[in-house]
Amino acid sequence: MVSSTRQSGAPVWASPVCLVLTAIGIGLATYLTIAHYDTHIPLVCAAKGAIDCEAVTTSPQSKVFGIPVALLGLAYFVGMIPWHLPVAWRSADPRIKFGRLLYGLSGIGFVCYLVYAEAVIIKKVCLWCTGVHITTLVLFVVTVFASALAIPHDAATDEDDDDDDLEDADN
Amino acid sequence: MADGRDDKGRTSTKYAAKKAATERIAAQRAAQQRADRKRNLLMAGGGVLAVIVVIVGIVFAGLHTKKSAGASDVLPASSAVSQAVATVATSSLSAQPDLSKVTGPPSAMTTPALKASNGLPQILYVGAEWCPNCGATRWPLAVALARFGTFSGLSTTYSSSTDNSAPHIPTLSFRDASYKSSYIDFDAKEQVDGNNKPLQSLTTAENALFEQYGGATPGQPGYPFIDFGGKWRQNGTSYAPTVLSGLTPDAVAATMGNATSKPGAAIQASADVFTAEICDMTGGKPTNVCTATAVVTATTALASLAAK
Repeated sequence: MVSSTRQSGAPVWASPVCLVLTAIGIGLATYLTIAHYDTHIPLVCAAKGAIDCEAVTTSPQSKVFGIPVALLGLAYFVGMIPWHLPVAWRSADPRIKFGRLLYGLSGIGFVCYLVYAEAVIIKKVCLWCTGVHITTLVLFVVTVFASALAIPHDAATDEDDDDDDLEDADN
Repeated sequence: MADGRDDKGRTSTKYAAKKAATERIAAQRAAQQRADRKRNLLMAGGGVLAVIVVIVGIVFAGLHTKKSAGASDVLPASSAVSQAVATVATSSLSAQPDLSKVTGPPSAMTTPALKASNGLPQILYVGAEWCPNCGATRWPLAVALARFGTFSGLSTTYSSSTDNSAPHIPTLSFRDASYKSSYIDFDAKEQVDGNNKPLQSLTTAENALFEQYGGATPGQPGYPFIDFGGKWRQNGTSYAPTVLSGLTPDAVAATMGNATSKPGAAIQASADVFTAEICDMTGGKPTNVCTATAVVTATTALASLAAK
């Protein structure tokens, strides 16, 4: 009789690394969101050459459908937490695995738009925003490779399976 | 026996077969897992590489378009420009303006004021991004308005580089700007962009006002046109746009606080005249602005300036 627990086979470092990166993203997005709503808190960012945080964060592209991009970023990272909990990484449910990848990919899509807005439309770079973009990218890369290394298997039943296989061999 | 040997110590044939099968299956599984991992890693690497290529491509496109940027590019104002507008609005209030720099006079008018939805009297600005006179006028207008409220989303650009009279004048654009004030409403319409393509349209009431007082002739719209609550209007520039020739928007921002510089003197004096006109709209509010030295001087001079 087989009483197996299907496991994802994801590397043990996947969850803690991703949660740390998510925490960094939350920290950066929180700072940008507070600076957006509270004008008394300036962004610590020297305006020099192409670097000008304020020009980026007060530009028309700093809002999407009237919602500040900083707030969307914060919501994105908060929504990322459940995908990277240890229990989620242990699960072999393909809906979780591919849902997590799709969620990360949506973030990358948004980062592409924001990089386009900075590089092509605004022609200024916001260092704090770039920090968020890099965090999103690194988090996506880690998620992709950890998912690639995850080969689902019946963790608690290797022995049982072997026995079954041996029975087959007997026959 | 538990180790697969019979009573005489001989290895059971059945057990050996089982062991061999176990090892064979384990080896097959391990090989399969290695193959799966290798395939997944290749796919992951390809996906990540594609994402990085897209991002690098976007940055490259940004660098490339920067090199070929024309005069009509409209970019969000740098923080230096936005801060300079707000700073000069306050710092220049106590100075004595050199009103001789105001070469484009205001005109008095008596027409019902346009009203915003919140009931505040409205200032209507109508201009074009290619227009050098608009380019010169936006700076003092922004400074004057910053004395009554706050701007956000200002842009910077240049007027047409092919205009013979005053090419490539560094300026602000109001196309994406929003303005908040407790005293007045500001409605800015950049009718066309730097390539003379339609940008922002006027309402029926605005268009009627513009047609009546804008000084437009067929094919020659009278840019810029500013209606100060039906009490005053500005037709054309308030000072010579060539004062700003050769400067960048950041350079104008850096110099307009200095009243001894040509751009600073012209922008501050024009801003004081605009402020006096706005004070006429607001009934002298706020008092710290409307009773300031620069504004009192401009208010006193309004009648004579209008008679120029």
